[in-house]
Amino acid sequence: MSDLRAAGGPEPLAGWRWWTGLAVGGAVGLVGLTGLLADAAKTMPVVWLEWLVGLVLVHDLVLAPLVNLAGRRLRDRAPEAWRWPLQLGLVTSGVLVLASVPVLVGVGRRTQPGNASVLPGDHPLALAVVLAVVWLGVLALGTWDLRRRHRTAPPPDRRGAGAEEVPAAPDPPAR
Amino acid sequence: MGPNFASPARSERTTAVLGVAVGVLFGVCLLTGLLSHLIQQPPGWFDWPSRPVWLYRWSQGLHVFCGVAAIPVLLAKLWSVYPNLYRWPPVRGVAHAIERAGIVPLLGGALLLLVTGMMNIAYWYGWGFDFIRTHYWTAWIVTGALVVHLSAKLPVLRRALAGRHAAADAVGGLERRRFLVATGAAAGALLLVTAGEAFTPLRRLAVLSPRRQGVGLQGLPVNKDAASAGVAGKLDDPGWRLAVGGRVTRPASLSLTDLQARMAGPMGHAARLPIACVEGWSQEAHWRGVRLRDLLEEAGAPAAAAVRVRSLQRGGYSSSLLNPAHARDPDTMLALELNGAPLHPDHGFPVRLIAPSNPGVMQTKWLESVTVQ
Repeated sequence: MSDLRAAGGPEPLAGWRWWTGLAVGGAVGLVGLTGLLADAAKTMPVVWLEWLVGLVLVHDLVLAPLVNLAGRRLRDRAPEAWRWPLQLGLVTSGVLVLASVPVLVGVGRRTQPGNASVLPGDHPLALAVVLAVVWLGVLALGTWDLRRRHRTAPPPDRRGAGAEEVPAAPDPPAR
Repeated sequence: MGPNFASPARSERTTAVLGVAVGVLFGVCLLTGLLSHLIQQPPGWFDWPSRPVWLYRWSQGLHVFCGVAAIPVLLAKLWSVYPNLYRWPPVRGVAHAIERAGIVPLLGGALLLLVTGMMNIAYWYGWGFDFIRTHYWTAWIVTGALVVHLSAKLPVLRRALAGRHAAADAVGGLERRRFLVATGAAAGALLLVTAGEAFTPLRRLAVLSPRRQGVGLQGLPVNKDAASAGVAGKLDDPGWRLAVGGRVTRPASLSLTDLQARMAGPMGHAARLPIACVEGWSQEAHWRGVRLRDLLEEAGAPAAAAVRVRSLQRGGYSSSLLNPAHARDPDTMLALELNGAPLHPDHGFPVRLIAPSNPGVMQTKWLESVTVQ
């Protein structure tokens, strides 16, 4: 982690802009927190906090490491021409699947059993079709890129000799 | 050693671009959300206009679909700064500790808004707390945390966005652009298959949205059906009358036949108006009924009065208050017909309110009274 420590470091938090921002933002946030606590019977602050912290943990300990791992694998293993199409496909598919969880679970139908306009249609099938279209696009983009590379300069080896080879990682952003 | 985070796509510039995008999307969500709250619980100084007809539909559509688009953008932004979670030492002084602690309500609150928002529009209330109030107060908490975060990051943001980025482009410029394009593609794909529940040109593509335009009784989605509103048994009552009262000189009690006669006469009116649900879906439909303005004049109501309409439904959204602009709008009707046929019970039979630029929850169904305030 020495690279992170050396990465320019965060800006020193000082000056009127930071303290004004802290005062104003803190006040606005406090209004929200006070409102939430004052309405505790409806907002259920303990359950709310469980959700809030739970979501942070799920993101930081499950989702982000998984995405990070997938990104590493993609960079290390995928042939140069396929990295970008695969990245596009994986990011788009992941987002589509995550965002569709509520309609896929379909719990909403039970709130109004007689109302056929709530979550109409077959969402799992629809998602499958949408993902198929996305991956056809990935295939088309990868094939096109591969042909373009063959036309311009056939690389001596499949990996690492592409025209768009990138140098080593730069420093991560300061926080 | 911590995990390996090396990726040329991670850079200050990536984070800055995505941070600005998240800020804009959340900003739109905040403004449109506050507007929707003001419309539904108007303070004395606030008068929501009834024109243009599409204003609420657009405002609420932007609220929900900026939220939807924010999902990939926020996740990408978080990915770009994820290595900082493992930064050592974790804090360097009091100010830095405050700044880092502020990330918890910012990140947790933002995720909470998006996750519960997506669940709410799919009618999945899997949390127990009241969605509207919690969404509202959490939005303030996130806004406050965002102001603190921005005041800490403004120098970095300026540095990252300023000038030509020859050096930054040389190192990982292509990968960065590709990562940003992938994020944009994900947001675009998600909008393409959901936004058609509100944005009519995309209606055929809205295969992953909780609602579909044109799908529902009489070609229009039903937000709440008569059975779940608890009014199904009350709609066949031959003794049903619509009471017109309050601050009027000639109170009336109108049967369905009385209303139909008025619809056939000069008080009758027809218009294409949208139902615009707070949950984001919206659709225009053809409505026909009795113009409320004419009915108020017939009853001798004062010119600039607010009007409350009440439903046979109890609890929930059983009544709504129309401000004078909405009550007197020439298109505001007590509707008896939808798309050329009498209202289905689930659409509000015998009579419902339909007014321009009005949230769907305020287009009260199954009316029993009109009271001039």
